[in-house]
Amino acid sequence: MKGLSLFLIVLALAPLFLDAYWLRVISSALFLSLLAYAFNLVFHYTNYAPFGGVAFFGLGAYTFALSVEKGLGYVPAFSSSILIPLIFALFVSPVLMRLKGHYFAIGTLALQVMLMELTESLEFTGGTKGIVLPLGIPSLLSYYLFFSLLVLCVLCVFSVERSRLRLIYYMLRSDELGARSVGVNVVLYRVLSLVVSSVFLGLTGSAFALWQGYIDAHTVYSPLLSVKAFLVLVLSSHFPLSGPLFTSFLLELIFEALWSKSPELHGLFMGLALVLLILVFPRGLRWKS
Amino acid sequence: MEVLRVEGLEKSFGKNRVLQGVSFSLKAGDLLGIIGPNGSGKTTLIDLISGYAKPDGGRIFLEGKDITRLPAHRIALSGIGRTFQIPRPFADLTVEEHLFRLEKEDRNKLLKRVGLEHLRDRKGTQLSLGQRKRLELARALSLKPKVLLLDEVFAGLNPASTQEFIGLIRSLKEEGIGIVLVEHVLKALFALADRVLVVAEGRVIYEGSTEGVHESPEVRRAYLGERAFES
Ligand SMILES: Nc1ncnc2c1ncn2[C@@H]1O[C@H](COP(=O)(O)OP(=O)(O)O)[C@@H](O)[C@H]1O
Ligand SMILES: [Mg+2]
Repeated sequence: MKGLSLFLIVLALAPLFLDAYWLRVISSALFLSLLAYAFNLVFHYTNYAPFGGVAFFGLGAYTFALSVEKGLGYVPAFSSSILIPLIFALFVSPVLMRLKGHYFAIGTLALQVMLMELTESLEFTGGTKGIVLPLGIPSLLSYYLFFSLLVLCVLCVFSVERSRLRLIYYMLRSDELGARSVGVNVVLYRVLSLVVSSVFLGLTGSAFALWQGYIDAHTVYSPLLSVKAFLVLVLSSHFPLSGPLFTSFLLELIFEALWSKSPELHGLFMGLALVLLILVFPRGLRWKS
Repeated sequence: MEVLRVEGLEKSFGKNRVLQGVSFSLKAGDLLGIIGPNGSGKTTLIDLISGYAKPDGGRIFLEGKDITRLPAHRIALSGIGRTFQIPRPFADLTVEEHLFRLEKEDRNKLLKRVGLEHLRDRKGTQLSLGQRKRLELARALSLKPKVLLLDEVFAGLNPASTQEFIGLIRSLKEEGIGIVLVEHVLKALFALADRVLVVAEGRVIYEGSTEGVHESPEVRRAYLGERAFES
């Protein structure tokens, strides 16, 4: 807890000391941790793996970019980038959350692929060309946007861990029947976790669009994003509060070092990471706690 | 006062007709013992009453209210607690956390009552079978149920725990909880039951006093080859 607070303070001050290159690296790490936190709201608390969870992220990014492109202004654009993924999550989750285990993971993947195809084939989403945002905003601003979202995620996890919700989620993830026997509405709580997760993903999508200044379907619905985020989660399992943040930074620094030294090694590393992911899935590495 | 009534419950799994019209009624403070050969549908009956599976026919009433179509968690909250034949403690929760529905004071009382207060900080999965059964009973009681469905709670208990459980269940009856006890440990069942229901192949073949069950020719026939009644 202390370590986490300290790290957050360091992150808040970091832009004062960093050049543009390092600001970008750290922004990438923040971005990765946001995906990880959002996925973890589902993964950690319901033991369901939203492999295609970037569907909500991409939806948020596109909603935001399109809203800005239509000249809606930032506030309505942000609001709609929360609202549309949220409505979409509410719409799909009653079905999605009744699927068991791997079928759920495949179900979310299907959503991701579907949205990617749809986005590429429709006219108003810019097809395969993507969308260029009218005005890029300073990288410092998007850094602090990521940072604020991170603080929100941490606060969200913190309050769950401190409340009765933690008990309820730990019950339903370890034994659905047992949870129902003490009156827990399992489907409702699963839906809740997916909906909250989708809100964070939508916001992260809008922040990502701002940061990049340009999005296309292959970037925001990329399976690579899920793989990286799940790699983070597998390495930080059992530490829902601080794990995703620290692991994201560690991984992002490794990625960056490999990428700048030799792109081939980067590919190899991603391959190894994927193998690790498959081996230890679904329960993650067990650290002593 | 009647707390639970079951009318003509039917349930099939594919071609397997597990329950074929089971009915009974239970009064507050009474204990109905249910026996029957393995696979005769006893656990299925408990699953239907607690909403884990839905019957193909028949109805279930709790204090006169039809609960047949309610989802399991609503049935639990409206006052039907259950245990599982194989105890299933929550892996990541301590013993005390299992009783999250109760205030601190009630939690302590209940832990003491089932003899787990010294293990309150243990994880559920670190308990012995007997302790898990205690925890499971406590978990069901944490709902403050009007009806308790117990599925073979005595199986695997040592003699001392068996005696303790008999005492505990008696005290629950005295509080007015209606209890359905599915049980193979007949000594415990006969010590507790006000009435006995014998099911075989999904039908009730005997309903009546504990004394009468030994004389029933249907029961003897159903148990032919089993040694249940010789001890
Ligand atoms: N979920 C299920 N799916 C298919 N068959 C089941 C299911 N549950 C129970 N059965 C079948 O129903 C019959 C009764 O089982 P059960 O109620 O567990 O009996 P008992 O508890 O009396 O030993 C058995 O033949 C069992 O194989
Ligand atoms: Mg059984």
